[in-house]
Amino acid sequence: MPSNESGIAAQTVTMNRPALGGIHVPSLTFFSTSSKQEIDWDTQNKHLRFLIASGVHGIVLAGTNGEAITLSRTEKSELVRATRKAARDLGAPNLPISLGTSGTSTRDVLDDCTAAKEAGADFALVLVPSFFHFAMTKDAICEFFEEVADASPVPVVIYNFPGVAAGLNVDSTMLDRLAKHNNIVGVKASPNLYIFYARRNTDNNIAYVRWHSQDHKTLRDIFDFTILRTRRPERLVDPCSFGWRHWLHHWSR
Amino acid sequence: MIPALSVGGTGCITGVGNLYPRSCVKIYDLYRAGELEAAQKLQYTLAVSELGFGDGGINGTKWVVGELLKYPESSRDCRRPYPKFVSQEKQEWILKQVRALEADEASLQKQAK
Repeated sequence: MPSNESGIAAQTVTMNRPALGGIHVPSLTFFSTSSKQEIDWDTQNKHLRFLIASGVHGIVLAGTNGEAITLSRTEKSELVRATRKAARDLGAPNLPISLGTSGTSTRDVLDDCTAAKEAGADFALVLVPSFFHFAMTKDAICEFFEEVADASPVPVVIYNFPGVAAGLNVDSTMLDRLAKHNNIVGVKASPNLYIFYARRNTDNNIAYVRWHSQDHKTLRDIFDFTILRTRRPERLVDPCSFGWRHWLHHWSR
Repeated sequence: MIPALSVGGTGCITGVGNLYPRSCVKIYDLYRAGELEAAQKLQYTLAVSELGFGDGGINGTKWVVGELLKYPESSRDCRRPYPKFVSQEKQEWILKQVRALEADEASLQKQAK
């Protein structure tokens, strides 16, 4: 398996937790045109069944595509239950389900994590609270994730999306620190993390990487840097060949 | 996805999967099977499609997914205040852009049956 050859035990993480590998789809959330724009469950269930029946490896609910910030906690729980039910009906009862958190306080984020667990989700995708962005130093951001991970009943995936978090970034040195936490299992990240990505490659650590940069040149520069450090440079292909804005990657330890 | 897999990634999450899930899974499977050339070929096609989702925004993504999967027209809007995707010009553009992957997806669906 190519990913093993490049130094990663790709699918060996599954001891106590569901796998994060493969293709996970951040499901859209469909709303009716009623004045309160309630969830259109007919369409929602149809869509979830379409995705699961297509053989994807996981579903992410209340991500950016799922309009997380507009959903109530009750709705998020209902989405998880509907997805789990569809997965059971379609013969994939253990399909990994991730639920996005969108709280602006540690306490609120933790309530989302608890709701995720109770509804049957496997992972919480946690965004940095950014209302008090002026107070969120690197240490403060790390402490936030550590406090959430200490108390969350489901493993935490860091959702690093500066574009919706007042520019707050979780950089590679912060990830070095956060990767040590037993309940933090991944990170979605911006392009500069590719440097980290290649570096941690040799340590068999975990990361989710997601690009939000629109700057191809920067991406290319990063890849040049990466190529110098990967064990299997011949396996790298043109970075322009993939849909870099929507991919979320991860590796396993 | 392929460059990421090549440096140790084990998967990815993509909005493209809302419309063309089988193609995304196929790229992953091809790569894992060591069929790099085929994986890259499909990835190039996907990148064309992805531009539609990326530049179309969430409202554009919902509109085009609803249009091609035949979901009710009344269920394609984002919750307010996200603007509606109503420009006919943009609708035509996103349809054309994302459909780059349509034939591959259809073929994969046919194979699965």
